[in-house]
Amino acid sequence: MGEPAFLILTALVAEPKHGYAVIEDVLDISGGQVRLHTGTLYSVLDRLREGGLIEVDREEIVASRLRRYYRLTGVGQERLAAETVRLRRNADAAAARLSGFSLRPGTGVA
Amino acid sequence: MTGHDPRLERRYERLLALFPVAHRREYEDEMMGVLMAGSAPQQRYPGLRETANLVRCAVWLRVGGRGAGSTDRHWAPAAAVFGLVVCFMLLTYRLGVVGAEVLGGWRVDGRLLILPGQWWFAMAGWTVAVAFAFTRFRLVAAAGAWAAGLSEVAVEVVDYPTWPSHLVEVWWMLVLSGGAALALTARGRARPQGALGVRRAVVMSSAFAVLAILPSVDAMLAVVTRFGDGGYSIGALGGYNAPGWLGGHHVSGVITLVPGMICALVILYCLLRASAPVCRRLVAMFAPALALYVVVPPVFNGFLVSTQRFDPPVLLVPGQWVFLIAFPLALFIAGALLVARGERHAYLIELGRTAEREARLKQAAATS
Repeated sequence: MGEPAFLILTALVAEPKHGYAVIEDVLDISGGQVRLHTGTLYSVLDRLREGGLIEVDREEIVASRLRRYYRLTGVGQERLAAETVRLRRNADAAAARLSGFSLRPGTGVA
Repeated sequence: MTGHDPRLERRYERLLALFPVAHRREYEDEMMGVLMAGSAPQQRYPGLRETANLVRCAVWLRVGGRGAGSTDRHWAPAAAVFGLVVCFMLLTYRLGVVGAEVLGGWRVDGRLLILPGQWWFAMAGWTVAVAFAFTRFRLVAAAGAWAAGLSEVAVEVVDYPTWPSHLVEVWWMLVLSGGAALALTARGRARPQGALGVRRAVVMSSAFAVLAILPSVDAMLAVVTRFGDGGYSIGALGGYNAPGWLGGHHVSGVITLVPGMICALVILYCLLRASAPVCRRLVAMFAPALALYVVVPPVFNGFLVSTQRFDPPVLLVPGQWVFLIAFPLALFIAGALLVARGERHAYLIELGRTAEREARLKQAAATS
């Protein structure tokens, strides 16, 4: 699972959201590090829908335009939980190794 | 959003036009809403990064990258189900014939028939196709179906000069074989159990397995009557007698027919329980072969009855070939178009209703 998909699923945990709200929430979740562009957002949303990880919660017409709210499915929740465990394990492993790491003389930047 | 420059919207529209039609149909409205919501009040041109991202995603989808979203997302699961069911049908048919003929022959004279190599090849191909249709090994399943289907076609082509009527009679099955191979090739990452549900996929597979062994059971339980002059007959329970040599006939009696009918209904029920869009597409995919099955006997009646009386037999004329090839193709295209049109209409109607509901709610809120 790529970072955009992970963040989008995370954004949909609390409540169903429409596209723009997902972009804003992802920006918030990532501490301002990840700003999803519209093309990426809808490519990933489509793939997540196809995989059954999210589904359309409801549709609205706002300013003569369709607005869809997406929500997490049970499958999506399970996948997100599994991915979270995997990422945490990797992060813990990296942290453990880094804690005992020190640059040997002449191998790194001064 | 009223403060936005209309030229910006037109420029975004041009960029969104780069996306595949199916993707636009599904997401264009939403994407435009998001793009406009994310733009500055007096912005006139799309941002450079946004533009680059839209172009990159559009190209990615055009070249078949993942996430090629569309209202036609239902074709892939429908193709997966269609491919599986047809491969199951053809495997079941082959196993049924083999079971009935081998065991029927063994019951008559105690010897086992030696099956033609093509039968083994076809059965192996259909088995591979069925087994891998449940997995993500799309190409293995497709290769099995293509190998089996082409072997069936090859046999008919070889026999055609001396037995043209048989080619016409089994044409609907050849169309099904080709359709199954194409469907398993084009199904993408979809798997049939995704559309049918795991439980129904298991039930359907079990029904096919029962269908495959019923003729063998019938043959084993059939009554063999021997006559003084060396002749014999073999009669299945409640079925017909096949005098003399079996001559390629199934030995089918009530054991095959009654539970067979129940199994067929179970399979049909499992298919009908799939979602409505998948069901509609399944109908469009099965329609050509079913129509051929119904239409060919009356349309080719004269040919079927008379051609084998000539030596050599009369072969099909170009017009008949055109019909056999063009009719199923035209029927499938018409079916696919009808599905797309019907769903588009239903979608627009729903959209209109939602807008109407929205307007009523706003009106009620304004008056109160």
